[in-house]
Order: sequence, then C-alpha cells, then structure tokens
Amino acid sequence: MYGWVGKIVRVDFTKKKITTEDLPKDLRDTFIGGRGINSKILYDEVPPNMDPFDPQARVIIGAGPFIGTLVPTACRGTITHKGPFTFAFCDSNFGGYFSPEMKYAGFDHIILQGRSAEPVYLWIDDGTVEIRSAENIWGLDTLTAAQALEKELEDPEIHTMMIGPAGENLVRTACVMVDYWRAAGWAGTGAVFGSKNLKAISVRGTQGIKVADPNRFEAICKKARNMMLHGPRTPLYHRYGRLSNIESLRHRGGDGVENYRIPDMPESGFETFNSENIRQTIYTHREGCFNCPIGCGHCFKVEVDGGEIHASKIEYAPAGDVKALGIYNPKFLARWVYEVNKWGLDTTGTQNVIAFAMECYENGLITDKDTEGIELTFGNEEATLEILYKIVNREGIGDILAEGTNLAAKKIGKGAEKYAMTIKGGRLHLDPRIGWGLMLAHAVASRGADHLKGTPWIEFWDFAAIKDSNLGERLFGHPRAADASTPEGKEYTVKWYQESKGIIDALGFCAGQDSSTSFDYPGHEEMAEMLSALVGKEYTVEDLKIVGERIYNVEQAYNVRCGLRRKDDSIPERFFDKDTPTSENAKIKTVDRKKFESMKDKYYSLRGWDTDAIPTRKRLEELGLHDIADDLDALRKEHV
Amino acid sequence: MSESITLDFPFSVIGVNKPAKSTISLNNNIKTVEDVFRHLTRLHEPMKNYFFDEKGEWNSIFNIFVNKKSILDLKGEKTVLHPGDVVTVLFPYSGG
Amino acid sequence: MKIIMVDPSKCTGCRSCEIACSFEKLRECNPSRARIHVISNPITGKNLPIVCQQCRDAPCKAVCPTQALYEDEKTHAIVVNKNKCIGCRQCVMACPFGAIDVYLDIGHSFKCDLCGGDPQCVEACTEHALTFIEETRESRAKNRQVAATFVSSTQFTDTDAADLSDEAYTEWKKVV
Repeated sequence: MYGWVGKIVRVDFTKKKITTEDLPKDLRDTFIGGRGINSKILYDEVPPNMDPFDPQARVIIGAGPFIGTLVPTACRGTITHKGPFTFAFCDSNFGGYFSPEMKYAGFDHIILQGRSAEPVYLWIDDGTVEIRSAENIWGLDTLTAAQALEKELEDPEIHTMMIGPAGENLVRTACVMVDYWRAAGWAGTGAVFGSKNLKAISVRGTQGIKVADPNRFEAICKKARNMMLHGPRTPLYHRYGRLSNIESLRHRGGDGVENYRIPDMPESGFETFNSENIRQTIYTHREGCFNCPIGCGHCFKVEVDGGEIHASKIEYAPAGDVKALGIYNPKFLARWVYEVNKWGLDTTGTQNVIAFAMECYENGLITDKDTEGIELTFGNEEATLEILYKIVNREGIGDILAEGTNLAAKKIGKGAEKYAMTIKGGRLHLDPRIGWGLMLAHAVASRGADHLKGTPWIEFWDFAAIKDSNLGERLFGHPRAADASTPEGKEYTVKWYQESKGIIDALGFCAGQDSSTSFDYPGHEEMAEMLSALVGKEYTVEDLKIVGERIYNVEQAYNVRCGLRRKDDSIPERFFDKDTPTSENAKIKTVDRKKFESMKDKYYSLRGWDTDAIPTRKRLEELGLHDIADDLDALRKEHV
Repeated sequence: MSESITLDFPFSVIGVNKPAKSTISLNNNIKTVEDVFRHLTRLHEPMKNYFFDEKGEWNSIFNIFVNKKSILDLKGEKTVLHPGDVVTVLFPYSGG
Repeated sequence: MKIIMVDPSKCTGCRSCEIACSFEKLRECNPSRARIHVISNPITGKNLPIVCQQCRDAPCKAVCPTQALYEDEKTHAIVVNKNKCIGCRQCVMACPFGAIDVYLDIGHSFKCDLCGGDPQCVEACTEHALTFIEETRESRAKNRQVAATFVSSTQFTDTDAADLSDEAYTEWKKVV
C-alpha cells in the first residue's frame, strides 16, 4: 500500500486485549484518513449519550496518508473523542514527531477503549504493542515523566504523548503533551486519557512508507517546499514565530482582554507585551516540527527555582491567554507556558475558566472565603498561578473550576452563566466581533468556539478587498464573500474554510503553511497532486472538497445525535449587548441578532441542512452517507 | 523644516531582521500612502513584491493603517497623508 | 573536495535531511534508513545532525576485510562497493560517529556518499544548518560568522547582524 500503512491497532484496557485490524478501503476512499476517518469511527462506535469518561468511550488517534512522507509539514495528527466539556464531537490536532513515528511503527490509527484497573502506558515498538505499568511515572509532571520513560525503555529516540497530573485528576481542560513541548490541547484529551488510567503512549518505528510514483511525488513536494520557504509569511515566522498575531489582532479589535469585557489591551500593556519585546526578553532560538521547512517553534528561557531553563514552544495562543488575564509581562508568559505544559493543561481552556472565575470574583459571585484568600483579580500574576495549581489538584474552588467553564458556572449559580465565554462548552479564543465570517465560523463549529476550523483568514487580508474585487466571487462563489464587514456571502466563505481544514486534517498537513492562511502557500491543487503521486490514484480538487464536506457532515450528524441544534450555534450573550464596549477597530460594533440568525439560515441552506441545523437526507445521499441519513431519519421519527 | 510622516514597521518582514520606524518627508511627489511605498521600495528593491504587482500597480499583501485606522476604511492606497501621521504596516492574523 | 558543513546552531531538529536522504536512496520515506541522523535533546533544546565525515584516514575503510570501501574519484567520498561487501559489520564497529550501518533488509553496509556530488540532505535543509562547500571555505565561513557577531563601535553594533546578508544589511541601513 502507498501512503497509508493500512493498519489500525485497537487497545482494550479493560480486557487487556490488543488487536490489529486492516484499515478498510471504503473508509480510505470516503474519508481519506486522519481526522476524516477518526470522526467516522467516533460516529460509529461511541453512542451519542455516552459519558466522555465512560470506560467504553473511544479515543482515536489518526495519522493521514501524508504523515511521515516527503510532504513538507506532514506531521499533524489528530486525536478524536467525545468532549469532556462539550459532551459532543471533539478533537485536537498536534504536531511534533509522534504521528510519523506511529506510521513507521506500523499504524495509521490507534483506537483506545476500556479502562485499566491500574495506571498504565502503551508501548508501540515497531509493530509490537504492549500495555505496561505506569507505576513509576504516574503522578509525575509531563517533562519528568517523559525523561523517566526514556530511561525505563532504554531508548532516547522514542516519541511520546503524555498526560500530566491535570489529566490524571480528570481536569476537563487537561491536555496531552506530545514530544515534550507540543500539545494536543483543544479537546480536554488529557482528562479522557486519565479516565482510562492511561498515562502515556510511546512509539518507535523503523518501517518505511511507500510511494507510488516517486519522481512525480518528489517534484510536487519540492515545489510545495519552495512555496513555503519563499512565502511572505516565512520571515515573520522566523523572527517572531506566531507572536506577530499580537499586533495584527490588535489592529482588528481582537485583543479580547479580561474575559472579553475589555476590547483592547491598554497602551501601557502593549508597550511591554508586543512581539519584539517578548522576543528580546525570553526568546532563545527556533525549532521545527517534522519535515517543516519553516520552523516556527519559538524556544524560550524561563526562570525556575532561581535558575533559567530552556522551554518551548511559544504559540500565539498562550500569548493571547496571558494578555486575556490582564497580564502584560513577557516573563510571565514564559512562566505560564512552562506551567501549563508541565501540568498538562490546555492554555486557552484554562485561561477561559480562570478569566471566568476572575470576573465572578470581581462581581462578588466568588468570595475570598471560596478562594481561600487568593485575590482572583485580573492582572494578578501570583493569583493566576495559585489558582492554576488549585485547578490541577482539584483543591478547594479548583475542584469546581476543574469542571470547565460551563459546569463551573452551573455549580456557582447566581447568574454566573453570563460570564461563561464558551460556545457549546468549548472555549472562546477570539472576539467574534472581528468580522462576520469569523463570527459565523465560531458559532457553527463542530467542536464549539473553534477559531481554527472555519475562520475565514481572508477576512484579515485587507488587500483581498482592495485589489481584487472579484476575489470573493472567484474563490468562494459570492461577490461579498471576502468582505468581513457584512454578513452577506459568509456562508460561502465559512463552508470553504471548514472543508479546507477538513482536507488538511485528513491528509496530515499543517494548517499554518497552507494557502488558506496565505495564498502563496500550497493549496488544494498542490495537495491533490501530492496525494495522487503518493498513493497512485488520481485525486482532483473536487474529490478533496467532497471529502472535506463529508467530514463536516459526519461531525454535525454526530452532534445532532448528541442533542445539539441550531440554538447551540450561538455566541455568548455579552456580544449582543450594546453596552459591551467594542474595539473601534472591530468590524462589528454590536451584533444585530436578526442579521446573525439570518446569516446562520443562509449557511444551513448552503450546507443542505434544515433550519434546525440537521443535515438533510438529500445532501447526505449526495455525499454517499446513506447510513447517516438513516440514523437522522430515525432520530426525527423519535421526536415526532 | 520639511513636514514628515512616520513609517512604522512594528516588525520587519522583508528578510531584514529589525523592526523600525523611519521618517519620510512629504513633498510634491510624496502625498499619498501609495507614494510613500513607491518611494520606500525604490530604496529597498526586495520589498517591492510586497506592495506592488508585476505591472507596478498597487497590490499590498500587508495591512496598512494610518493613525491606527485601516486604509480600507479611508481611501485605500490613495489616502492623503498629513504631517505627523503614523503609517503602520502589519501582516494579517492567522492560526493559533 | 566539497564537504557537508554542519552548523548545529542552525538546526531546528526538523529531520528533513533524514527524510530526503532515505527518499533519495530508497525511493520510500524511512528516516531510520537515512545516512544522516539528527540527535535532539528536548531538555536543552539543542540539535545535532551527524553524518559521515568522509575521514581522510577512514577507520571503516581500514578494517574492511574485502576492500569494499574505497574513495570515489570524483567526490572523494568514502563509498561502498556492494558487490564486495559481505555485511560483516566491522565498519559499523570501527566508525566513531555511527555514520555507517548494516541492516538485514539492505544486506550490505550503507553510508553517506554525498549523493554523487549533489547531497539531497543539503538541498532539503532550509535552515542552512547543512551546506555543501569546498573544504577550504569551511573555516572562512565560521570566521565570518564570528566577525558578524563581534561587537565593535566601528563596525557592527547589532548582534542580529549575524542574521543578515551583507546586501540586506546595507539596504536597510539606508532607511533606518
């Protein structure tokens, strides 16, 4: 087989059984791989009413056909499971080196099920899979545990995904750390691993991935590589990693400070918290993920125990999170990244619940008695770390906050819900008033409040509107599609970006370096050519787009079965309130509810879904998803 | 005393690793945003592709702001500049 | 003779060199079969690409019982005559760098042969951690790197100048 390895390994921790299955051809044909196949397996195997921590709940790790090959940036794997704070479809994408090694070890997908009686880790050694006791590493932070595992397995070349104490304690915003410094952060995967008593997965492989047409493959991979290397974004990545998003977002009214009650970072904050100053204060050097020609991983130094140590990686997200807490100190940014990595917490999910708690505290819904003396005010560095430790260890009020923002709000009551900046339980990372397309993407995203899967990056490119007034029409099929200041045409843009991300995630490509973020980077044409040359079967751009559409429909159908409907496709009430201050740079000042709902209607219509966001039989059959159509019909009958 | 505007690159992106502020004098030939960048790219050949297309027409891939307002909300590249204005050049946001 | 110059300070640990090497030699993607390997330390953040040094007094060549290793006329790389190689692994034992290997499925020793004069690892390295230069230039290149970071009020006043090409630095200085 070319590209794919062709194998799935299924690990049952209850029965202590490991089985290998063939990767079915029809799954590959219909969904390609990675997130695509993951989502279908979730749909098929996890009943919608199942609790995310149920022993039989699945965790599916997937690597698409590109992973581990000559394709530049082909290292992005996906972990899929029912979300511990969304209670619906959820997944998380990650970089580093784990996914290529998983394929070299002989597997495209790993399915985890059951629950181990004692803490264990999984060891995948070139096709041999073993469940081993984690007694030596349970309780250790992610960095210490990763080093201990290398010693235990006598192999410093292993690649590992690891949970920290947060995951062990089922903190719902816990993440999985990959290769020490990368994170599968979004979905609360750490907690799901913890619920299975699974501490880590280590992998080592020496098998190769075959290529159908090596000469054709080599040519297109080299072309893609050069496009990335010479792209306009690259010098920016080299100097700042992704930190330049700070300036860019500030000029679009997207700062989102103090739980989104303040639209812009104060000028005094920006003086210290800007890309160049952060770089001068903490940056050391760059590193890159597997086969990446750009290397945007910014390493930094952090002061720990009176000394300075190396750490990685500063993404924009933690920078956004630190300023969201009202802290504008680059050294604290270093500390924050180090701490969330070490304890195994998602940076944005944790910021979201801390910011929520801070706003509650400042409004008297949480008192000093509740916090045991911690002054939970925005801008308080010490308090931020103290509450973070309480969350990791589920101590005191940390036990409530560890449940994630929505559940914590329910527990606290007294109207705390109005301070929960979430959508479908998923945490908000950007102010939705930046642009109408971004707002729509956030509202309808399958895993909730998602700024990565569907946000039309074109809305941030002013040039698009200035130079090419036909761009919207040409690329997305509507003349106003590229214009962030109007809700018109946004259904076309959001659908395009959602499906584009679906394609990338199914293949294993990195979303930082594809044409949706910069039109000089490789796009669908290049990806179709790479896939065709790799696997020896011709794929067109249209073929890829249909896969992208199928993936999105599977996820939506699953969400519908979980009980999500149109009403859940919303944004926090705060943004509809005309008294909420808006940045003067934001495209939308106050959100007009009618315009918002009408924009959703057009999106559902374009998607071939009904007005309650349920995919119709007609559209599902056009996509070849007959069994899903049957399931949804049955659901409709039940509710009649 | 010539009247000038400040050109602010909070981060420099054209293969030259320094953020910089520079002062550009307004005169009969330099009046609008487009004029400023024609002047700049004459000094700085490598930057040309970021602001003009092969035919030499305006095609900036950067977002440009005058006194923190996007030129899209003003008169685009034809926006007239006044002494003391600050012209900021930024790359669009994306990703995580 | 042109050699692969390694600058570890530039290596981001991406392993593109490993992938490119394995692909060039085997036409499949398998870094474990590459003739160059990157050793990374996630705690210090340091990366080191290790490749055959094409030793002038090569231990692998000296210990080979069948004279299967010889110096290529054109590139001066130490290369393997796989017809003569019996896969005895003496070269693997003798090499101080771990730059030569014998695997069951390959059957004979394999090592870096500079791809006949167009090393693909160098082609793949976008960070210029690997460069293919005349041996007489290697030390001059390092001299220049040091000179660029040498702080002097008469010459360079910015440690970042090390990152700039001469041309770019001159141009920018006109504007700043």
